[in-house]
Amino acid sequence: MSDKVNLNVNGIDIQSDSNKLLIEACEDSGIHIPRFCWHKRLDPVGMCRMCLVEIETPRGKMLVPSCTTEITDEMVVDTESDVVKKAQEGVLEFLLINHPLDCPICDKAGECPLQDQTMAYGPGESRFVEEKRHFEKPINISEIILLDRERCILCARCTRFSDEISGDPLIEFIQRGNKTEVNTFPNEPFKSYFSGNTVQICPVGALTSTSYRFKARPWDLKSTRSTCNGCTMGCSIELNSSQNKMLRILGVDNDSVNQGWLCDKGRYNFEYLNSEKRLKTPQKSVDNNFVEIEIQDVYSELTEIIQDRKTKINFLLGSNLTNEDYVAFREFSKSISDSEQTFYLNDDLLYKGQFGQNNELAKIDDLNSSDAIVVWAEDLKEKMPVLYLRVRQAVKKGVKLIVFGHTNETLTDIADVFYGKETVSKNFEIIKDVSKLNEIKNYVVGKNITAIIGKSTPQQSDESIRELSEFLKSNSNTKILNTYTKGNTYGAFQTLENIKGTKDFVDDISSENTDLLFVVGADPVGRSFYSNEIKSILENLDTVVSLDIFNHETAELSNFVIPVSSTLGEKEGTFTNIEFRTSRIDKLVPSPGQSISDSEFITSLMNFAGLSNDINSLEALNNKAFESIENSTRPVFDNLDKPSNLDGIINISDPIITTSENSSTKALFYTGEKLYGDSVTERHSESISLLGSKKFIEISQNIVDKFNLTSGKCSMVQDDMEVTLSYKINDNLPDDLIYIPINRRDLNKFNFSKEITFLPSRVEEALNVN
Amino acid sequence: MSWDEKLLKQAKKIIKLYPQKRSALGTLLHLAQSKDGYISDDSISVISDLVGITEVQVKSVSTFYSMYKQEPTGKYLLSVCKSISCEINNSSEVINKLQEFTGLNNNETDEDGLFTFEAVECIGACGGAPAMQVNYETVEGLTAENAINLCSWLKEKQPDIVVADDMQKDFGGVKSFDWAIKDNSGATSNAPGFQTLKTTKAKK
Ligand code: SF4
Ligand code: SF4
Ligand code: FES
Ligand code: FES
Repeated sequence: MSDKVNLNVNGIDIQSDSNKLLIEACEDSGIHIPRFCWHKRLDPVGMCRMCLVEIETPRGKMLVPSCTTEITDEMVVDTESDVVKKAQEGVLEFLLINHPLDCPICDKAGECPLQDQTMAYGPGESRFVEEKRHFEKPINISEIILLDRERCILCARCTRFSDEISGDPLIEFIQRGNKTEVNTFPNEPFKSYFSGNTVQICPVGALTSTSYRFKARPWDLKSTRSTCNGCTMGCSIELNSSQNKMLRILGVDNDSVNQGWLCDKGRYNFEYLNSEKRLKTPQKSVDNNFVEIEIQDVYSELTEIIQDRKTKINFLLGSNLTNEDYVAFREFSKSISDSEQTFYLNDDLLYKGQFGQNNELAKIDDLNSSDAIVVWAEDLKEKMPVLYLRVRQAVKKGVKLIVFGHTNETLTDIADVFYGKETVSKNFEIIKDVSKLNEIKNYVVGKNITAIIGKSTPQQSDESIRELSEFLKSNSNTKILNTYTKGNTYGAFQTLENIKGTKDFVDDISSENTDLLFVVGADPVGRSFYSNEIKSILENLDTVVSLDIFNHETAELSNFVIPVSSTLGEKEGTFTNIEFRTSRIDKLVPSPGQSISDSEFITSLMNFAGLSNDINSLEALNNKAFESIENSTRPVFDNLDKPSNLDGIINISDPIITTSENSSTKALFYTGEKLYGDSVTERHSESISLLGSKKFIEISQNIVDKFNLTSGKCSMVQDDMEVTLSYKINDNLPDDLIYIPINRRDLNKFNFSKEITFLPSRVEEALNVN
Repeated sequence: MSWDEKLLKQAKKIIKLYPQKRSALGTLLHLAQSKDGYISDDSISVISDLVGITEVQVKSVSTFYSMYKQEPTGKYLLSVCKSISCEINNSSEVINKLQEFTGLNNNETDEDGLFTFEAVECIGACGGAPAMQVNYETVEGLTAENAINLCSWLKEKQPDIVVADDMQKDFGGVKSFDWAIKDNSGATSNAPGFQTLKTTKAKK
């Protein structure tokens, strides 16, 4: 496979792996060949001819596009000859013929490959005096993406991306010759979870985002590398800001993780940082009104509570904390009491998972090298979009994909085998003997398997998931990718002990055992399967302290609300992803008003209260977080900042999750989350809010019949609650099952362990009467 | 959607002829054109469903090839060759005169929907240059005068089927080579006459 090939480029002998393209081989040896259409993550097309080089052939020297030419032994190449230079000038002259050259008003100017390469390789002057072609200046091809067809140089990067990588080719070349343009089908906008990537890889300013449009010039940008904390994928990102405002997020090519790509949520759900509605001052609830309060006074009031030795403290922590924040809470709890503290994560789907000695854990890269991937988890494309891309990539390479359950709808298109409602019941249990399924015999038994296994919905029993994992482990060489999807969950796993989820919170917590509750970066009242229960618990507690960046339904029930910095862009720290890869979170912009980081708040409180601590700096917290990990791979700042470790360091851990067993085998509803919802940050990010969080449900055909629904709309009624929404018929759902996306306001306020009635919409009824 | 049962059945038959559904795309586009005289967005949606690719991908292919019309054409699509052999043999006169006669610029359709005029690249009849096609039925060895006679005849008689042999006999001149057996089947629409597509029919 890795045969070496010798070639001579510009008189220098170089060596390269065979089966490489000439442009890559040169690049690896530090010889840069200009290009527009070639992108290392896309298949080559040879569209632009910018990469022409001369090679020696039996018929003399010949110009060839280096991006479509595979290297051969003894190849002699010239990338700088006069002929090559003339070709490059020619190509650029042609490209510029129809290019509007409106750089002064173009977002790309300053970081534009067309500008840069024209400077470096182009003709000095234009000979073109004719009229250029014209198109309507930018057209919206989606809510958030604009296309300026005049600027397009037809490199096909965007169209190839959407076809090859994301698999939703909603843009294509239309017409031909000099009339060719990129466009969508009329009334079929470029609705893709990955559309932002096309803006990033467009080599000109043809594709731009509404989010960044006219916001800044590249030379005014400050930037830093960080990690997206939108889900447990932990994609590598570059943050860009100007004048202390976060303006843009770009994907960074981390070979083992996101390979340069991001989902649109990760890319655009930063705009809330600049929202006017951010919390800026600490507040205290006095007679049901919030009044501003000095932070010192918060400390002193809390100190009083803490110093009362009888005070029982608990924590409900969100998933968007850094590892260092988690450690701060851990150390805080240790300093007050010797007894073991339980930490509740704001996660409805937390369960024990398959960890420990009996389980070999998978890395993301294992997807590509396994024979088959078995998935039974939350819908990957909705919850971990870039992991979906990696699965898709593996499938394209020939890895078999076996998908269980109606919860993985978006994978059905690419799955080799989809075990839907005939195999997985309405109660989320596999109702067939897995060992007897033919495809399992063919593709799974005795093979190398990567199993993406996690809980799909709160009402699923833990046992059902365990059974499948056990089967896979005993019948094939299985590596397990335990799939929890929320933010820095694995960071919490690495830094905290005795971890439980919201279900246990509801079962455990009451005013009997909790006087003081810290709710950190979490709005379970606004968005949880257990909203109602959590709400009534909070209402009964003596003191609730909320740390967050916005006011929200949970904060409103608190006695103190502390404004904190966002993990995205406003603080330093570390993040740990689904394969226990820890990488850097970095700070680029200041946080508004008096916001401080969660860990600063806790350490200041400890200092104020005179609690002994050795975590007075971020470095100390960072060290504490990974004390137990051996030196060489310890993901402390010094180590992570080494150039070779920028992509992160993996330390597989064995988390101590102490959730009680969920043995429910009766699900009335299937609640899940779509990528876009209306959480507090999403509401305050304009781009994301444009992408819609319409209220809808998906139902099986027999429910349509049962409730006599005809109009496409219905009302969901329970007690005094009523929501009117649209429904879609989903044939993948077992009879009598209703899918409810609960990352929408109002929808999660229903009690899903009780009956809900579905009525033909009253609005429609009124219309019908007329 | 907008394709009736019969057409859908025909489409499915066509798809079966290919190893992969999407390979049937080109033929299905011809079928769409034979239905409406052009490729409507509606047809694109139907085809996209039938072969399992997105609508814009179908649109991309259909707009790439100039024989797939993007707008309705007249009953008779007049395609006059403007490539080199015909040009040498005075096709520009044919073109000018025909444009005068029909009052149409390139790629225009008249108000009655009778004629669409287009000047096209080589239609493979160089030996009989200059040549033109009516609904892709070829006439060779034209003169400007005969071309006008041909169009006058079309205008007057408005035949539902146009047959190459007939037109050649009445309005053509030198042929590139003998077309072997007589063929009285001709085009029934502005899509090329294919048996599988049922766009050709024998004249009674
Ligand atoms: S829009 Fe950009 S990426 Fe797409 S083809 Fe044009 S230049 Fe290339
Ligand atoms: S997949 Fe997850 S980590 Fe990656 S960009 Fe999207 S939200 Fe961020
Ligand atoms: S980079 Fe090689 S042809 Fe475009
Ligand atoms: S040049 Fe006219 S038919 Fe070939």
